[in-house]
Amino acid sequence: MNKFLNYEDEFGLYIHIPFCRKKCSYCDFYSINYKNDNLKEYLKYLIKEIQLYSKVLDNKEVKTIYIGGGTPSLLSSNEIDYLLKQIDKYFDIENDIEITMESNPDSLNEKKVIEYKQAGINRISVGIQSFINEELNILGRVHDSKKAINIIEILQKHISNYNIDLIFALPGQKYDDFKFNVNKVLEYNPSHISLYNLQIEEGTLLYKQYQSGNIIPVSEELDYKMYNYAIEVLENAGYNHYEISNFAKENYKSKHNLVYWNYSPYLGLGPSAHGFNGSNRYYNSSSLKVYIEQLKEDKLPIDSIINLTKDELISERMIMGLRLLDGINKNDFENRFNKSIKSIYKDVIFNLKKQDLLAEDGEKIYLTKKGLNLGNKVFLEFLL
Amino acid sequence: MDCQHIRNFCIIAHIDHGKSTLADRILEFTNTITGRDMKAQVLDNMDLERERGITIKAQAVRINYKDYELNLIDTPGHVDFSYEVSKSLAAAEGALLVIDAAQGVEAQTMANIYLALENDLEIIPVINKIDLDTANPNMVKEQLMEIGIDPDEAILTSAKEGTNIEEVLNAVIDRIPAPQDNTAKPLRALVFDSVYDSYQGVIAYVRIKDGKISVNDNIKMMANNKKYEVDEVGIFNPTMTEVDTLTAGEVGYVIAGIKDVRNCRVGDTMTLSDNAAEKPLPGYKKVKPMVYSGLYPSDNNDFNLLKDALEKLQLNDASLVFEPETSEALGFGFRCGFLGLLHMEIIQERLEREYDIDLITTAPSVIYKIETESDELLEIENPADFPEQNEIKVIKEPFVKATVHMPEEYIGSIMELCQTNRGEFIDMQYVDENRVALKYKMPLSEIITDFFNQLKSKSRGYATLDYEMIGYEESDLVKLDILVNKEPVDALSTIVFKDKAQQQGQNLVRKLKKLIPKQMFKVPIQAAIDNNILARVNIPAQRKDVLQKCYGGDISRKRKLLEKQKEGKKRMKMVGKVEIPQEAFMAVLEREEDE
Repeated sequence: MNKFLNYEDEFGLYIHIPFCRKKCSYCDFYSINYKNDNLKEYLKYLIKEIQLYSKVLDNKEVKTIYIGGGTPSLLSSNEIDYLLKQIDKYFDIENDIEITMESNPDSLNEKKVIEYKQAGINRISVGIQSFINEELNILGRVHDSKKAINIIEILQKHISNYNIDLIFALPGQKYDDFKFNVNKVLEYNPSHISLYNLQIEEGTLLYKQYQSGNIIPVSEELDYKMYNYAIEVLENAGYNHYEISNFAKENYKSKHNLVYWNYSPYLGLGPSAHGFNGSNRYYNSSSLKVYIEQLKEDKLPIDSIINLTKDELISERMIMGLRLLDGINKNDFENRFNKSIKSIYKDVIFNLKKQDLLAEDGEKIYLTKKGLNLGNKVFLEFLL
Repeated sequence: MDCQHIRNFCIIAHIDHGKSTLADRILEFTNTITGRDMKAQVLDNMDLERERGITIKAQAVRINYKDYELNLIDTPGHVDFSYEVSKSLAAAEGALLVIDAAQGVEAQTMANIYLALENDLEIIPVINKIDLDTANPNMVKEQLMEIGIDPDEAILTSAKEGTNIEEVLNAVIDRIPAPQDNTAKPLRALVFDSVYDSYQGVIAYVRIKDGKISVNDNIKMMANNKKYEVDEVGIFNPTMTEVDTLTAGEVGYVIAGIKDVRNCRVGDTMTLSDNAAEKPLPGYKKVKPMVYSGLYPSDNNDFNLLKDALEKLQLNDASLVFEPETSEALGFGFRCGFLGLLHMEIIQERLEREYDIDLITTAPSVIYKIETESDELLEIENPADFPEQNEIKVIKEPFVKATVHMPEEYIGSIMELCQTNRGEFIDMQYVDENRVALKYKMPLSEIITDFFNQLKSKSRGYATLDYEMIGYEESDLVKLDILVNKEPVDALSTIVFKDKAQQQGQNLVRKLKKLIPKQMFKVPIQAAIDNNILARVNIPAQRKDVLQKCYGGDISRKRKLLEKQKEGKKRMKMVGKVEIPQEAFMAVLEREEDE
């Protein structure tokens, strides 16, 4: 059996649903235009992938489940129910683990939310992005602000643990526009908020508009102001700023995403999904066609397996861990790598502390407030 | 072979008019090289030459055709190497003058014709690329008439398609005179090129003018009287093939345990030490560098690597000179002298490509002659070494006569360009109905700072440039300093014309603002003369730089992104607390348009 499949510990399970009704203008991920038949066929092979893994994995303990996309809310509640039942059948699932599903307002309604919940979904993340219609237009989102509010009210009623995604630093966005969006979110007091600044990635519609000069990115200064405004307001409203872009009410941190930031193992299913078992990373073919062809031949649809060197593991551990406001626990690090952080990064830590980018106490090292804003400056120093 | 059956010829052309392709076809047609061994453009040895489509080092090949021995001597195609061209021409009796049927006569065509006439060569005009849709052989013929060459003698070819190659070869035999039979005289062999081989030492490319040379002969170089014993003589056909003797009229190579190309320079005369010729062949001069620049390793630990690499390159390139220098900003490096800008670029590229050294290059400069108040005479090529302004009585700088050929529609903008570069109009002539040759007197320093690029962009690539040295003249020059974060950066200092200092200072600080990345603190950039600030901009502090989104599927991608950033950081130079990228040091070179 392939060594990369040896998961010694329980793992987070990620399932990718690569379909969208319409591609957002800022999205550079592989996605496929949604057609019901395609989705049905895909689900058949996704189940097959689950079955194949159940045969080869020694340890099948699942710690969290995250159904991401694409647009998972294109799946009917029956399909979600079926999918979760299959996972339960082929993997070891405890009763009360976190099961998250991503969703878009336009493919969600009250009936679906209730049924998803009955099927076992206990956390929903919704891509609201903005409450201003012009901004939603720029982003190429299908929903409008009325729909956004309607969906939040439904979630509010039925789901205790839900997340709202907001995007900021949009071309043309004013400081006040962003304040409006943040305060609008706070009116509903969701258990979790994610906040991302808009990245104009190559190959996206936005990038084309940017190149032709039709849109002008916001200044670094405004981006800084917006981000730090949000941190202040959300903290005052009782949110725990626990990761660079994530805020949670007490006990509502995303357990699945913490798997990534703690650099713990995860298994990824579906086209382009990544997995990591603690020493190897692998990723599936991003083409749905290739993915299906492989599974038809009873092969795992893996495109590549990367055997990470110890230096790479250590570097990535630092880069991911420092994203958390709690930083990296020194003992945990030493237990994992049989070396202390200091023995590897003494000078780096000294210099970053001097620049007020990094701080430490007896237990952990972590980013300062300045370091949060200049994270890349810190991260690249930890590359070995 | 008796001289009557020898023909020595070279091919001269403006850059890109198809010289190397014609040479390839001739070699193929005469079966000197079989199709299978044929790499396009055989005579261009270095990858770099092939990539840039130019010939840097002259080469020589013996071709056996009919009953004749034809020696083809290839010549470099760029103004920087005009001395090497002239020596290659001196090794031949005739020249194929290749002219692009679409482009017509260019500056370098003219320069080559003059060189050929100076060397008494029979010129055979070849109008090439007649396969092009835009080819206009009649236009070229009219141009030839204008410059006094009989257009009826022109041969129309397409080297690319192999058209009329036989006619070219017949013309070489019929029209180019045989070399004089001076075998009885004492040996005089013209060195028209030399290369260094790590096993055999210097391989001298020679044309035997008088006498003969054989293995075991004792020879001496007439420029410095150094003596050597001949280990091997031979010919290129096209690979090196040993022969017993080379006699007057022939072209070949000599290996004589010479360890340094500087002892066997282009243009020197080889003679026998016992039966020495009275006088060397005329025209030898030691080529002097015209353009200087500082080369520094981005990583100071690479200093010795750079030193070794420069020494190795010098083995093959007698015109490259260098000596160690120290810069406060850049650490330890070398001040290097080059024949011109192209020569400089080629050396830089070879250092980076063949020796894998990341370089920081300072803006090129010329040698300034300074008379101080205390009547000292200084020759300074590094702006950092300039005396204080109040100690300078007179500054002189080198001037050139620049000749620009272009279609007449560009006259206005090119004249303007020459004038803004302190050009002094000398003369304008129509080469034909549409083409004009402009002559300007200009400071060399203006030519080496981006003039060529500007010329190309203002003429949409149609203008061509050639220049020759006139000599030193007095100029009103000052040293422009750049201060980054209040500290002067010696490597960014330049010598500029006083009336232009203010404007250039402004342009430069503005450009540096774009090139120097934000630091975590505010960085002022200032331009100054003698501590008087002329211009200032601030680079604001960086506030935010963080990957906002990073989950399980992002890690590999994001790590690679960070690794790239880190790589870029490594290529920067720390000056005080500020990281300055390589491009900033080159920024001094370029000028923006319309400023």
